[in-house]
Amino acid sequence: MKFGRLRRAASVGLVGILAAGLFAGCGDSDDPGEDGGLEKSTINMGTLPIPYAAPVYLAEQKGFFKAEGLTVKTEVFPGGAAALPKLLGGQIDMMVSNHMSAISATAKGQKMRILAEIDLGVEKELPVLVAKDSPIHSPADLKGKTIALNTLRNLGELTVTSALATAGVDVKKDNVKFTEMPFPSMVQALEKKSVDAIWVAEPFLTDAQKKLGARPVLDSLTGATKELPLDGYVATDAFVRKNPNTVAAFKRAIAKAQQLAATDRNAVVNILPSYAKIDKSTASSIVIGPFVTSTSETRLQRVADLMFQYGFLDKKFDIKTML
Amino acid sequence: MKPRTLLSWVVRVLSVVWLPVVTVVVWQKVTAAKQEPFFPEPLVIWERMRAAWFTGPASHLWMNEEATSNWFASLGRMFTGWVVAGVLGIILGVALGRSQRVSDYLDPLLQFGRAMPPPALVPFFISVFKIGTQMQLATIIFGVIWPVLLNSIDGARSADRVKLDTALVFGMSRWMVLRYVILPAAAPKIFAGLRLSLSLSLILMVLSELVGSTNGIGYQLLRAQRDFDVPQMWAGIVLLGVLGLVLNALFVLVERRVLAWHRGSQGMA
Amino acid sequence: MRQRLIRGGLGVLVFLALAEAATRLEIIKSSVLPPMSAVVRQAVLLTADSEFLRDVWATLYVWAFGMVITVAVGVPLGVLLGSLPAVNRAAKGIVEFLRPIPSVALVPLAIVIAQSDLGMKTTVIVYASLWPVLINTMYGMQEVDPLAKETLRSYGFGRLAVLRRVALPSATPFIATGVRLAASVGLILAVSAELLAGGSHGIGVFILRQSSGIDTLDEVLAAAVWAGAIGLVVNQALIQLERTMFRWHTVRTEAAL
Repeated sequence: MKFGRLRRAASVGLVGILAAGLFAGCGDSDDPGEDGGLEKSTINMGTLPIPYAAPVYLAEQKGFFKAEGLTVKTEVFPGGAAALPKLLGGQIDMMVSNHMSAISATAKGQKMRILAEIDLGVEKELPVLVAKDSPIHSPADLKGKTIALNTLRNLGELTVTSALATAGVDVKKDNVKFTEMPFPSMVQALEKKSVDAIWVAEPFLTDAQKKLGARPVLDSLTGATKELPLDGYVATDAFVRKNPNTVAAFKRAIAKAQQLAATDRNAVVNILPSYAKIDKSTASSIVIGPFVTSTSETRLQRVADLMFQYGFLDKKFDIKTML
Repeated sequence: MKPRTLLSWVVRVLSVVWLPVVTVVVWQKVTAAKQEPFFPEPLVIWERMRAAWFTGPASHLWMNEEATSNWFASLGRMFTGWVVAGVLGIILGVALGRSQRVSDYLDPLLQFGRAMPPPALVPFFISVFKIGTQMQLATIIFGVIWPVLLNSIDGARSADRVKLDTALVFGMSRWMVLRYVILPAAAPKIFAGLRLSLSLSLILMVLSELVGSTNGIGYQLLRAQRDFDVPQMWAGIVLLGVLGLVLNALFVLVERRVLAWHRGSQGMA
Repeated sequence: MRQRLIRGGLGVLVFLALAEAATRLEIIKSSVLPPMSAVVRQAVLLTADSEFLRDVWATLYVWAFGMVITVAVGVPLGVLLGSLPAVNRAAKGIVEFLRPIPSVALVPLAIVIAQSDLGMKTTVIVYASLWPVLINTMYGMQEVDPLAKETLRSYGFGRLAVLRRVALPSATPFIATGVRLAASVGLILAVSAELLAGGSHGIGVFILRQSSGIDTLDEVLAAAVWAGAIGLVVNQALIQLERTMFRWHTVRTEAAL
């Protein structure tokens, strides 16, 4: 059923992306590359060791980039937080990033653009886990506890805050504390009870459940965060303005790869070990949210609104400025 | 105060402060003119520091809850780590310095330990220690013990042969030899090590708060970075500079007193 | 000398055996920490890993680059501050303020400010390793024998000539000590910057890459061991160099830090 829905969404979305690409190409007709020639044929791309970077590698493997005359050089970063400064500094041209980082940066004056959406959150993809024998059994038990996440003031903090609010827990008033540590360290931290709970993504999610029998107490993607758009391809506003044709070409190529990823889970699972430290068998069993094939303003606006609601932005933010 | 001495005092102060003042003013003018997002004006940084940390009552030196809770957490960690490393370093160092044999056995390990970059060991510390205070202290202690340890070894070795022999002839106990001959001889080196360790412990404190922390100056810096809050990052950096300056000045004060006292007692012995 | 080597080797072996025993006897759980033998095995395997060797070269490259700049900036600055007391007094406030700022705290800013990866790492390395060179050079300049200086002066030599003939030669051993200290600090910072900021190659990048996986602590530790070993070799080599070059100079400079 799910795949049926996805496939439909995919075909509609492909048209959308192509149209968007076309508009991007036409809109900036005063630019030097008016005839459609690429301003820059080599793109330095920052990726992450997560399943959602797969379309980049699929596009490379299937020759989608080459068909557009693009050479894409990838560099894997341990997390978006490490890659983003490089994007702002111009050391990489584009990157796979969660929308939230891009919105934060833009709101603080580092203007960025979302080129295309990658995926939506899915149930049980990003839960908060506790140790097997933990006294925590419900979200309400998390009051006064410390939760580990991979990056402070980012997706984890937002979604957990929102999901806890849905469950009637106010992070500020009920003194829920957040601490930052790399995903791989979390399993050990939970084992030694250094932290009370961890917010993890795959493959560490599966690892924690297998190794420790850790159990979920909260799904961070429920209530207001259900099917939240998570990741996208982003670039700086300056780069998009300067290289409209390159960006359009990239959008066309990646749309094909998104289409492939959305319809063929095996393609994603097979390519995952080539850039992430994950073995085939784990890769095949992990939870992967749906890849999208269109970019929706309404959907993305939800992220900005949530960020404002929970104090991650000082004022209301219009996502249109980033598309 | 006589006008003459007052004048010379003013001249002395001026000769020290003119360059820092000029630098800050020029910095202000240039950044105000350029408006680069990554280089905020000093006034903006100051305003940010005030808003973030100095909104409290005068009785608390205007520091607010945010400042006191985080700063004290950091300073507590730093001093605990430094003191433990200092005590361990001096005891081990003096002991090793007195025994050529034992220090021969341990020398490669010590040299090796010193050369290990502490951040590279963070994954190791995370797996061995409980994240939080325990791991942070371990990181700080491991990072700062080397200068004290190696300097103490050196210092203890440098104790004067003649003095040692004299002390033995006079039938001084081991404890007295340590107290009146070895420690005074080693003191300058030990203090040099302690001072170096102190400045290192500021670095290690920040480093240890970047992973698995829920408060502290490093934690605030990390949050600012995650929020893309450039002025706040600068505010944190300026704070660390001021902190380092104050710590160093305090240390020099203590060092002078202790070394003077030691010299006195050495003379008496 | 030979006896020292044997004893040192024995010390290392005993340490390794104890560490191995700790995990074998489950004093430390082997699920938490890999046994020492696994770490040593990985460390040996890494020497044949071309990817890792490339990482090592990348680290050594930024480190060497940083050292060249450190010396090029630190020595002239130290000579300037050390020979002109008025300037020294005026700059003291700035130096004392800048020196304690931890360079790890500068990494996030440096990433954004520097336009390239090499630039960022070099900035951080230079920032941290500048101080030992600067301070030792200043110290060395102040230690110059005033009698020798005055003598040359009275023979009508100018300021620069005195600097070149007396001050610099007598300050060289101090500068050498400063450079040696800077070299160890710089190497530590090179690895740290890679760990905090990532990049495409480097020992720190290797550690980051490996620790993004599951159960890879042995490889992570093996890389850390190599980082330590390289630091050790560099330090020992520089000490040897100092000893042979300045045999006449009793080393009492380290206290200057």
